[in-house]
Amino acid sequence: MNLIKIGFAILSIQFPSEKMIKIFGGSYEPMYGQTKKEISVKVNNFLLDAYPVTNGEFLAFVNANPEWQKSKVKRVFADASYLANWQSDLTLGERAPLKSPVTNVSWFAAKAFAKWAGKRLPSTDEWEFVGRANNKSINATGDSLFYTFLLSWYERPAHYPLPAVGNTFKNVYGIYDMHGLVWEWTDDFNSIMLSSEGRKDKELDKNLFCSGGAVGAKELMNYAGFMRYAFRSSLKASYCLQSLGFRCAKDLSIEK
Amino acid sequence: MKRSLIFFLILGIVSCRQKKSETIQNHSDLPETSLYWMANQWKDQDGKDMKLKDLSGKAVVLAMMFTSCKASCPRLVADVQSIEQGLDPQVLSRVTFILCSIDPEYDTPKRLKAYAAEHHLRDDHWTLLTADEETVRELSALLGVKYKKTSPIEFSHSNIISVFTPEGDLYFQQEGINSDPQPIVKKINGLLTP
Repeated sequence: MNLIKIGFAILSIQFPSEKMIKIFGGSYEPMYGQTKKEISVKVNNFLLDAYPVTNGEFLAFVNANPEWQKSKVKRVFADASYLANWQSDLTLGERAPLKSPVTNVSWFAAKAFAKWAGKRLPSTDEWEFVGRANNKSINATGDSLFYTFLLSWYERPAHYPLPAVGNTFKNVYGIYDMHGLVWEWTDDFNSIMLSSEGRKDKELDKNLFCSGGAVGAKELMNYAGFMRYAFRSSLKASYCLQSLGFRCAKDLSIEK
Repeated sequence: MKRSLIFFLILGIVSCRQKKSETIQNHSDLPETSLYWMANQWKDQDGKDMKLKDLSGKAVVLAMMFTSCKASCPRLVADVQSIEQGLDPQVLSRVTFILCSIDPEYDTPKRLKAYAAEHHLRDDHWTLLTADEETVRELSALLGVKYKKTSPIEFSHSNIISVFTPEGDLYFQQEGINSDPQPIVKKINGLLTP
């Protein structure tokens, strides 16, 4: 199996990026999802891809796993927009440049890719832990300039085809494109509940969710954070969106 | 498109002749959108290994919950029970009620069995399921059910009742608890009555 993979990598396209960055974990306070008693979360050390997964890398994956090709995927795992910008099963075409981030991929497809690459999707806490970093500090929480910068990306309409990975924001870890290129799947994207009536109608909220003491958001200035949580909250696992890609993570425990 | 039309036609003809509760044996009979493509392993309240596909052949009414939940789950389960009570007997025999636990650690088959007894969930209508965390996460992600473990014994979670066709297609979802069972009862009657 590995031989085939290596052979394939030499022949073609692009083997999944080996470039992963070591993240030293720690405790952090997520915007959402914690109870009043326990506001901080411990994030373990882990590895995170330096770049989002590209079309080229995803092409290698569907080549090795035909059941994930555009014409063969089961609708229950990926909606009709799956790889919509690709020309065909094994041809990217002009609208899906080799080095641009792959988008229009469902959560199931992203998970399957990660598994194939010997990795996994990052948890929401892991993603947000790293997402706090700007170019100078691993934790730019509360930095209004950083927030303004993030919002300016969120407000700007994207141009398609998307540019190659590694061209937008690089944070202090050396990780690219956490902000500024595409939204990214997380393994437990469906762990936080937001409803539009969240603040107005407590009773309705109680009926929709059973939230054992979970509280509203902290850090009310972080509109960009709100948008990420709201966006994730609106997804279902089979959705394939033009602005939504992913990157992989990996446990560090083995290398200790 | 054409193929699925033919498939449904054949299914219609066949199902007139056959016993309707038979599970679908062949994967190729499943529509592309079927839940039953999920190949993950579950255990029921008797500890028996099963796949979701084993539920095919009957309509399914499904809710995700955990047995130690004191707040909304008992009401969610009560809502499913009122659906059960609202269905005509001949329709009822072609429906399975499923509770999937989001708490694999605590909700062992034994615990599920005890819960079913406490809540008078009849064995012939109800299946209570548990699986590993990844499997539970996959099902919830597919259904749009949100949940998170907020402490060792507590989860926050959304309350959603999902109805599936005998082939495993998602047919209807109802969000919230303490809802009038009538709309969903009507939907199921409509689905199973020719």
